[in-house]
Amino acid sequence: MSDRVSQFLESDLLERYLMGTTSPIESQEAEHYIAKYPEVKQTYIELQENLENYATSYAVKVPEELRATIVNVARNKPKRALPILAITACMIAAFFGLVAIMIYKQNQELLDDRRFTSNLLENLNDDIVSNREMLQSVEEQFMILNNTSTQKYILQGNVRAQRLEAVAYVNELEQRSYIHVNTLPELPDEQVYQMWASVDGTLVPLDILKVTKDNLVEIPYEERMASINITIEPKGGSKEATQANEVATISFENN
Amino acid sequence: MKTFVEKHIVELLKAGDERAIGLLYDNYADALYGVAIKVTHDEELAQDVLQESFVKIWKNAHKYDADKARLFTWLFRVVQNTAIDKVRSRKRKMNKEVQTNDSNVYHLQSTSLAIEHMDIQEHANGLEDKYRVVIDALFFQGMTQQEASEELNIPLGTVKSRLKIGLRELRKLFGVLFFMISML
Repeated sequence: MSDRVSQFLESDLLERYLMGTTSPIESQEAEHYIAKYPEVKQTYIELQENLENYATSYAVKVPEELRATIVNVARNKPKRALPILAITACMIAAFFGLVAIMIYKQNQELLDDRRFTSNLLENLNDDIVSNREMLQSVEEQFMILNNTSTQKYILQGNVRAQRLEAVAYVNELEQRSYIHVNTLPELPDEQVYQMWASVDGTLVPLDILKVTKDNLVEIPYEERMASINITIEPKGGSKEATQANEVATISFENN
Repeated sequence: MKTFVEKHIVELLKAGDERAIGLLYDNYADALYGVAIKVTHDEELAQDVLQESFVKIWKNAHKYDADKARLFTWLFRVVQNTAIDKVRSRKRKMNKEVQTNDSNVYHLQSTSLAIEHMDIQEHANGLEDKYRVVIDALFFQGMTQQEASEELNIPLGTVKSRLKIGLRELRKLFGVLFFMISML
């Protein structure tokens, strides 16, 4: 018998393993010795036989009537709890799985809603900024129009554009000028009306003229501007005015 | 050494054959009932323990590993644990201490002892008391070795050695019995 086996048998590990009071690690150790060393296995077998004999020495006759009860009760119990537990565990897992999917879907919907609301908010913010700018512009126009130093000029078309109706507002102090075009006679597609400012005898190109309905459109202000002239020019506008095509003029010098 | 009956019962248990319960009962109920009485010191409670243990045995038959323990060892542990749990539960409920081992309480044991086990008891009686109290404390009272040392007021080392020697003595005592049986 090796020293290790003797040492093991001298310890109380095997007896405690028999009683079922060993820790999992101690149980593993005991099972290892039992499996590996025949002497230990034999001792373990003898210990079990002793336990059985010793316990049997205290055997007491069970009352006869108890047999039927015990055997029937045991039979009527489900043999294994494991399948029931497994089924219950599966059902719980499935339930939580469904809940998880529902929560995921709800989360996705909420994320979509949030994205939509965020876009909406962004658009509304843009609108607010745009409206604020528009309001500011209108306020500025209103201030200019109500300013006592603002002059109002009515443009009338000549024979080439009799239906041309426009009003210009010029404030020399603020150096701002606006135009309100009510009607413009129609032109072929390749032609446009172009505004010019007469400065020191030269016509400086301003904007292309369009119908502005109820809105005022700011036009570039030129210092020493003697008049505003409107000509018919090729589409896209010209760098130099075609004076023969002039349709309207407002002179500031006479006012 | 495993008997033919033991092997047969294990096979039936593994197969989930209900005949195993009847065979288990007929072969082990008296011994297990004795264990339950030794632990609980109460016949009625011991009967509850026995019934509950048989339910557990049948439900957990698939957990029994014949390579790790003999059938009786496994049955003993089931009954022992069930009985200890019952006693502890009742102790908590009644909030008073259960008397420790007092052999005078068990007149029933000597009068209604199963006749077929009387020879074995005679041999078990040959075990010296100092070993018997240690084995009883550990096997039937569910005490740890440390608890037994404190309860019996003997050093832990002595508890260990008396357990070992006691079991060895039992081997000798029962060895004679088996020799006699084999001679008949």
